[in-house]
Amino acid sequence: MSWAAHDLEPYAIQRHLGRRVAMIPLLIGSYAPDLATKWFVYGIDLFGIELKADDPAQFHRGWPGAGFTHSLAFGVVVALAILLLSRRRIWAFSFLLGQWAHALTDMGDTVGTMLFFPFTTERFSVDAWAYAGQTGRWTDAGAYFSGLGFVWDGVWVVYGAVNWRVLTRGYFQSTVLPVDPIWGWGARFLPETALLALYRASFFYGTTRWIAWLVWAHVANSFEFDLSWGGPDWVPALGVLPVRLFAPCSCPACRCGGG
Amino acid sequence: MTSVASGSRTVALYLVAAAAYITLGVFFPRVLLSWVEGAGFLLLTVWLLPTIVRWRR
Repeated sequence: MSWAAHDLEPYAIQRHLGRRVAMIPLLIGSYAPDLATKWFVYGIDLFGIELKADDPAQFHRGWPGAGFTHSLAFGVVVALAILLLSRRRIWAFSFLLGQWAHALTDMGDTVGTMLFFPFTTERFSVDAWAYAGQTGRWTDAGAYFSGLGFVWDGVWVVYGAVNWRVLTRGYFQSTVLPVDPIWGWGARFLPETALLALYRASFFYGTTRWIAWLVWAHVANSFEFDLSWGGPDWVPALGVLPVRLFAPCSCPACRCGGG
Repeated sequence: MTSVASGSRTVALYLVAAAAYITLGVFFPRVLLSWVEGAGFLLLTVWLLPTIVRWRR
């Protein structure tokens, strides 16, 4: 899982596609895979009763479970539903891009995503950082911000800072506002300064919490940095037989060749 | 107010909002968990409070 990339990637997509995407469905797509499931992964306390998945990783990314939300097909199905209901191709396309970005980004952890569900329930992973959702929210945060996960998020923070023009009022007025009538509807109730703050909100949220979690993990607490592949090693990472894209091939032909 | 001064004021407001949210988040990390609270905090800092201050002057 990623802690800030899903907030920030839509701005990179917006930067590259300009008027071909609509920001609100793009953001909703980017958040969609976790919208209804994340609370059950970490668990919540409701009137003294703890509600939590018995197997958080299986529930979050597997089948049976809600792992289908991290598949490419889920994005296509929801995008088609949006197209049928709204008749707006840009909304459907934007949602699809956001959801696919989420599914592909979450391949970075050790559990991976069922990218090609329902054709296969295999999980695809690049194993770069430890999936530790089963340890609870705080340990997971400490682990994520000690391994390569926070580096990946940092790429998007820097990318956003370099492409700061995508956050300006001029860009908002010329590129974001005209393509999506939701902003026009919002303008009936809110001034442009407030709409602009809402447009920038995910970037603000992603960047500030990326900094805050880093400080929390390494200054307020003493989680140990470990930038090794699949780390940090001090946390019990889950990885239930995903298809590891960059793992060395262990077939007999490769073994004989010394590969 | 010139557009440059207005732009600088806006950047300053966002920086204050960011510094305040980060500080709050480090001491009370629960506030970092909700997008709605984060967006609400931003709206409050860069739009609602300045509007109220201007209105009271």
